[in-house]
Amino acid sequence: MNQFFLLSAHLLRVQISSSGTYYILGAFWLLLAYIFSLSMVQVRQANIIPVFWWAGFSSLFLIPILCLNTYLKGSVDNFFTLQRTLGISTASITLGYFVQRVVLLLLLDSILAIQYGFLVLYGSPDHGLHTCAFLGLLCLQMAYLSVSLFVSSLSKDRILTMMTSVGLLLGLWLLSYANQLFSGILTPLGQILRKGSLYYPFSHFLSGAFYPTELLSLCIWIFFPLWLCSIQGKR
Amino acid sequence: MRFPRFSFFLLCLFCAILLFAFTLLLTSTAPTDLPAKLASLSLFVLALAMTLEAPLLTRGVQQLGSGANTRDWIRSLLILVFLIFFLMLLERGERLMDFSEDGFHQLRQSSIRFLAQRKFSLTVFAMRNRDAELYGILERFLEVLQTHLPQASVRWIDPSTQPTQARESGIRTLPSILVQGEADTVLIGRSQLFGNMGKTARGRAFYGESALVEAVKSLENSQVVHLLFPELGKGPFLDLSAGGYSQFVQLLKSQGFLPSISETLPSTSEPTLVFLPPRKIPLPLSLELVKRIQSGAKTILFFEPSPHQPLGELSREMEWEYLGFPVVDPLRNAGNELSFLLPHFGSHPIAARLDNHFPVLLPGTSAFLSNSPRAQPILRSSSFSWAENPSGGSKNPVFNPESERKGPLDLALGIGENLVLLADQGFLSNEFLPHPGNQALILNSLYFLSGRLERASAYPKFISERPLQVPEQTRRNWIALILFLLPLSAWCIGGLLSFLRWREQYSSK
Repeated sequence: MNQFFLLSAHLLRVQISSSGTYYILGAFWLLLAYIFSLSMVQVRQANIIPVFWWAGFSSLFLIPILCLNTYLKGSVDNFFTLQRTLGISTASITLGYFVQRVVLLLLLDSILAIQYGFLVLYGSPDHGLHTCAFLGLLCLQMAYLSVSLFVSSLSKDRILTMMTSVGLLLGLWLLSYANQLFSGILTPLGQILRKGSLYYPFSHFLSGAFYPTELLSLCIWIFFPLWLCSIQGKR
Repeated sequence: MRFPRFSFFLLCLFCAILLFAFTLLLTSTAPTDLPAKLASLSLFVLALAMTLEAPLLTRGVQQLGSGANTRDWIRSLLILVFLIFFLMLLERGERLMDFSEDGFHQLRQSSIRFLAQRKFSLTVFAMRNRDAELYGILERFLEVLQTHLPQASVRWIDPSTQPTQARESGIRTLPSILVQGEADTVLIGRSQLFGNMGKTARGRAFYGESALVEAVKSLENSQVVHLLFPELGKGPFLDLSAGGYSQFVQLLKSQGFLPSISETLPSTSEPTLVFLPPRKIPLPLSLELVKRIQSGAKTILFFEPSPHQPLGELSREMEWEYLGFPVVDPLRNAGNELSFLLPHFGSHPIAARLDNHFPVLLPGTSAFLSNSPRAQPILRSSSFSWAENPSGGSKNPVFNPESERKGPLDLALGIGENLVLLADQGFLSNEFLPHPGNQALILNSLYFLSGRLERASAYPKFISERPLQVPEQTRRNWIALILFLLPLSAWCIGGLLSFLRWREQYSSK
C-alpha cells in the first residue's frame, strides 16, 4: 500500500510538472468557458447542466489522448523498472496511472466549480441537481479513463489505440439510442444494449435523479476494465 | 501490395451503415423507420464479416490471453457475470434517488396509492428523435411509475414504425399515452402531458402524473352531473368566447363525468350545479331549489354579485347571509386589478386538498356571512378586505365603516356534506378555468359532494426557473475571467515549463 502511495505521488509530480498538462487544461477550460458564456448570454438561468454535458462529450475525445502514451515505448520501460526493480505489483501500477489521470480530470473539471460559484453569487442554482450532475460527470470520465487505459494496454500502435479508444467510447455513448434502432423482435436486444451504454446513466445524472444500479453500472465500467488492464499488464 | 480482404470491406460497410443510421436517427424530423431497418442490415453485415473471419477472431482471442494466466481470465469472466447478475437482482424494485430540489421525478404517495389499486395498461406513442426533451421526461416518469407499480404494463410504440396502430388509436399529437382500463380507453394527448406550450412562467411543466391519475379516474367515473342554468336560452353558456363555459363542460367530460345541461331542476338526487342569475330568480324555481336543498340533495350554488337576495328563505333557515356587494381585497388582488382576488384557503376538507402553489383566481366575487357551526369556510378574503357598496359612487374604492362590511369574508362555504356555496361564477368561465387552482376547486367540490374526495385533483409538476440577477458589467467581467484569463494563465504556465525544460537541456549540452 505504501508503495502505491509513493508511486501515485511520483506520478502526480510528473503530471503537474509536465507542460502538456497545462496546454490540455487551457484548451479544455476554453471550450467549457465558451459554452458557459453562450448559456449565460442566451438562457440567463442559474443552470450549467449544458456545460456538464459538453464536458462529458468532449472528454470522449480528450481522455483517449491522455491515455495514449501510458503503455508506449518510454512508459513501458518505466513500467518494467517499477515492476521488476521496485517490485510494485501490476495492479498498483495500473491504479497509480489511473489516480494520476483522475487528478488531472479533477483539475480539468475545476472550471465547473468556478462557474458554479458564479451561479451561487448571482442566482439560486439547484444544488442537488448540480451535485448529481458532477457525480455523473466524474463517474463517466473515470469510466472513459478506465476503458482507454485498457485499450492502450492492448496495443503499442499509437494511432490504433487512439482510434480504437474513441470508436469504443463513441459506440458506448451511442448505445443509449439502441432501443430506438432495434424494434420489433429485436426490442430486448436494444434494451440490453442501452443498459450497457455509458451515456444513458449519465443523462439521468444530468436530470438530477438516478437509480442505484445506474451508479453501480458506471462503477463496473470503471473497475472492470482496470482489472483487465492489470491482468493485461502481466504480459 | 496486398489487397484488403473481403471481410474488411464488410466491416467498413457495417460501420458506414451504422453511422448513417445514427445520423438519420438524430437528425430526421419526419417519421421514418429507415434507421431501424439500417441497424438490422448493419447487424447482418457484421454477422457475415465475423463468420468469414472466424479463424482470425479465434487466434486474436488466444493471443489476447497468451501473456496472462488463464485462471485470471476465467476469474475476470466470473466476476463480470456475477456483477451483471447482481445488477439484475438490484434492478427489481429499486427506488429512484432524486436530488433535484423540485423533486420533479418523484411520484406523489397519494398518486401511487390511488394507481396501485387500479388495473390499467399504458401504450405510449412517441418518437425520440422528434421530441427529444419531452421524450426524456416522459420516459423517466414511466420508469419511476413502473418501479412503484410493477403490475402496470407500459408498451412503447414508435408511430414511424407502426403507423397503423397509431392511426387506429386515434393519435393526433406526439407524445401521447393511451390508458386502457378493463372496459374503456382514454387518450392523454401532448397538451395534457406538457401543457399547451410545454413551458410556463414557472418553468417547464409536466402534467403526466396528474393527467394519468385523472385518466384512470375517468375510466371509472360515470357520474351524471346536472348543470342548471336558468337563463340558458339567453346566456352564452356553451359559448367558446372568454365568458362562455364550454371549457368547463369539456373538463367535466374529460374527468369522466356526464354533464347534463338544462333550464329546469332535475328530480334526481345526483349532484347539481346551479348557476344563479344576477337577476331575481323566478319564484317556482326558487321554491323548488329550497325544497331540493332541504331534502339533502347534493348541490353547488354559484352566486353572482347582485343587489337581490336569492333564496332568502333558505339562507335564513341555514343561517347564512349573502352580501351581494363585490369584495375588494387590496392585499390579495391579482395583477393590480382590485376585482381579481386570490383568496386564502379555509378549514373545509375541500380547501385542505388545494395547493398554495396554484391559487384560485376569482373575478368579481361577493361574499357570505355565517355563524352556523355547520358552515365551514372554503375560501376567505384577507382582513384588509371589505364588501364594497357600489352605491357609494367613488371611483377608487375606500372602506366605509358605516355602510360596508370589513373582512375577512367567506367567499365560498361548505354547509354540511351536501351543500357548497360559491360567491362567484366567473372563475369557471373559459377565461379563468385554465388556472389549475380554479379547476381543482370545482373538481374537488364535486368529489366532496359525491363522497370521493380521495380522488381530488392532482397538480402538475414544474421545473422551476432560476433566473440569474447579474448586472451586465459584472457578467462581462466574469466571462472575461473565465473565457480568457483562466485558459491563458494555464497556457502561460505550460509555456514557462517548456521554456525551463528547454533551458535545462540547452545548458546541459
